Amino acid sequence: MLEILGYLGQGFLNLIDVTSILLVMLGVAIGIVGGAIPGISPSMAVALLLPVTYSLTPVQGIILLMGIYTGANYGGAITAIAINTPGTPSSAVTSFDGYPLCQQGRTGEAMGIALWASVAGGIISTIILIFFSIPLSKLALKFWPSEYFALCFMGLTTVATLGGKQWQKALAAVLLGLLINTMGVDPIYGIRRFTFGVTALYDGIPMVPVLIGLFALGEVFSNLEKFNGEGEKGKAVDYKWPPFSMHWKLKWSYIRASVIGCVIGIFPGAGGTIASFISYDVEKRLSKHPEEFGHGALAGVSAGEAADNGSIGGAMVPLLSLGIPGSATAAVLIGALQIHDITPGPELFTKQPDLVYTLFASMFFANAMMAFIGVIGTKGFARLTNSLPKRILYPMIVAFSILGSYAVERSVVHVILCLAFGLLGWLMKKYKYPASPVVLGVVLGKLMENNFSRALMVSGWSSFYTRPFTIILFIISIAAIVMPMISDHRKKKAGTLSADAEEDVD
Amino acid sequence: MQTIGQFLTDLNPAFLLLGFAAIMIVFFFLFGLNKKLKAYRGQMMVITGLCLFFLLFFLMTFAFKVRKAQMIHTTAATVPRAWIFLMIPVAIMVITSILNGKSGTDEPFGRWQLTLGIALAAFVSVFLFEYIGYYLSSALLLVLMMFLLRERKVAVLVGVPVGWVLFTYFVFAKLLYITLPIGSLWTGLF
Repeated sequence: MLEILGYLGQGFLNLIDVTSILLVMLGVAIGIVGGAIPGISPSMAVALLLPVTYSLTPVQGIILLMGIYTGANYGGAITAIAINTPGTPSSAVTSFDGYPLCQQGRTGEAMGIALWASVAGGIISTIILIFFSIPLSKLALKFWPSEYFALCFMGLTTVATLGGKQWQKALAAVLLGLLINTMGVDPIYGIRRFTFGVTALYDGIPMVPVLIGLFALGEVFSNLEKFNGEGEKGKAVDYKWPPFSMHWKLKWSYIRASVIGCVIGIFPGAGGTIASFISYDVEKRLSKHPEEFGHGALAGVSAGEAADNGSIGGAMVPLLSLGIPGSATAAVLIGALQIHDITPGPELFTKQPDLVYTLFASMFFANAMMAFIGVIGTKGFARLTNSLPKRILYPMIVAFSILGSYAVERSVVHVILCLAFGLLGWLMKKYKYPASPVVLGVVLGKLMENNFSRALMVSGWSSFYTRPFTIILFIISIAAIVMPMISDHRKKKAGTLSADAEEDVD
Repeated sequence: MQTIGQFLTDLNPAFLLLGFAAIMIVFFFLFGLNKKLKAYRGQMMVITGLCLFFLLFFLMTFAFKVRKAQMIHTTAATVPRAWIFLMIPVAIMVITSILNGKSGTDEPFGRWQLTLGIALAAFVSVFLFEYIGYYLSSALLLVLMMFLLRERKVAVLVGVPVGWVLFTYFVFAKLLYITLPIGSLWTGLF
């Protein structure tokens, strides 16, 4: 323990120079802007700045990239809240409650909660990373494909939360997401499925155009239908940051979501998106006011954001201790380390503790910088989007959506898909089909199918009912579905009884 | 089934879209015949569209040329079919809940012509990338959209597209090296 703290202290000392501080600030600022632009993922932002690190020392290079990684994961929340356009897939959950809060004129509160939840997620997951990276990485190694499948299944149960009263429609939507995820080349056999002869679909339906289409364009198209040109300026917005008491009320939400994000982030491939969905589900189930979720619940914003940024620390666990990337961005970071002749793995902690703990210190520092830059920058962005007349804002969102969906793979087909999903999103919104389960299906589909097939290849069907951890995850999932049903049934029964009693009294 | 699946797989996607649209139009009128159904026509159309989509994919799975691997227990069609079969009870539940009035009646349409007009303009602008390039196409789209939304100030109608083109050029093309389509018109001219 003391040894760890000693190394960490040395890591902080290594950061105290002007160049390092400026690099962290620059990284965080670039990350926030990159994350806020739909179509630029955190991994893309880190990869784009990778060549810059050639001329830096290994420590400076890594802290710059960590700053971008941290900033980008938060940046997605800004546009998710202000214009219902999640900049990154993992910030989709933030838009569920962040955007309604913005519509209610509580932009400052939403932005403030998102910022501080991100900071809390980043710091808590870094603490977990520092003290538990070795045992956690061992746990991750014990995860078989059947456990991954069960984890995804657990993620699917969040559909019950996302659907609310329209749970039947939410189920249909999640199945749509899962089915469209089977498009493209089959992961096991290499057979082309539902590609309609379009080469761009061989890799399947990408996440970003679906996300931008359903959320951003769906919202714009829906608003256009009601657009009458009168009173089209944004509502009066409250730019006040949430008071400390509001954060204090949400403290357990911050902690839970951060831990969930960190733990799920450890598992390669799972990442911040699944973490934020699961965390949102957990928060809604634990909330005393679940009916507020989806309509502007602050805990909904904090759950998504803390889990998203919490996943960064989680993704670094297998990267540093085993040399396995926990996310796409972590994979790019491995490349950055290797450029500087650093091989991540168990020996890194013993051979280069200085570097490892400087990296940990830079993660704390990046989160502090994110709070500083976020406080200054996000208000300005919120003001800008709110002050723009809708007749300019809506065309800009459409233009950004087209650009964002094109930028990912530089494919016109993806833009067409984005527009098509925009129309679908509009119809779904109009006819009360929740769109978020489609995203959930798209997020989980590939991972589920891959691990389902892998599990069968490794040990057949038995792997689903003989491995204890798989069974535990399945039991949790089933409980997550059945418990609310039982609770609802009891409430109804109690309601009926009390109604009967009242009738008797009458 | 395999012949039908293969036929659908080989068919031009444009014909599939046309066929899909034709069937949906038939359903639109069918749902209009019944007074009760008419109140839920939009919601019914969405679930019908989803069911058609799932049915199309189901038929297409028969064209997957793969034999079941004995050790793996699955084929390329296993997972898609699992989702498709699950859709049957789900669709029944959705239809039941709609007809029971649990979801409420359909919201009336507002200015749907404006929405469809802008969506159509966006589609056209994407098809124009190849010919007039991204920059001109996106600028024209912005002007058109703002005009449709009743913006009449010339300074705004000119300034916003110019600002957008400069932003995309410097940030995306120059800074991030994301090349945007130039268009055959410009490459031919210069």
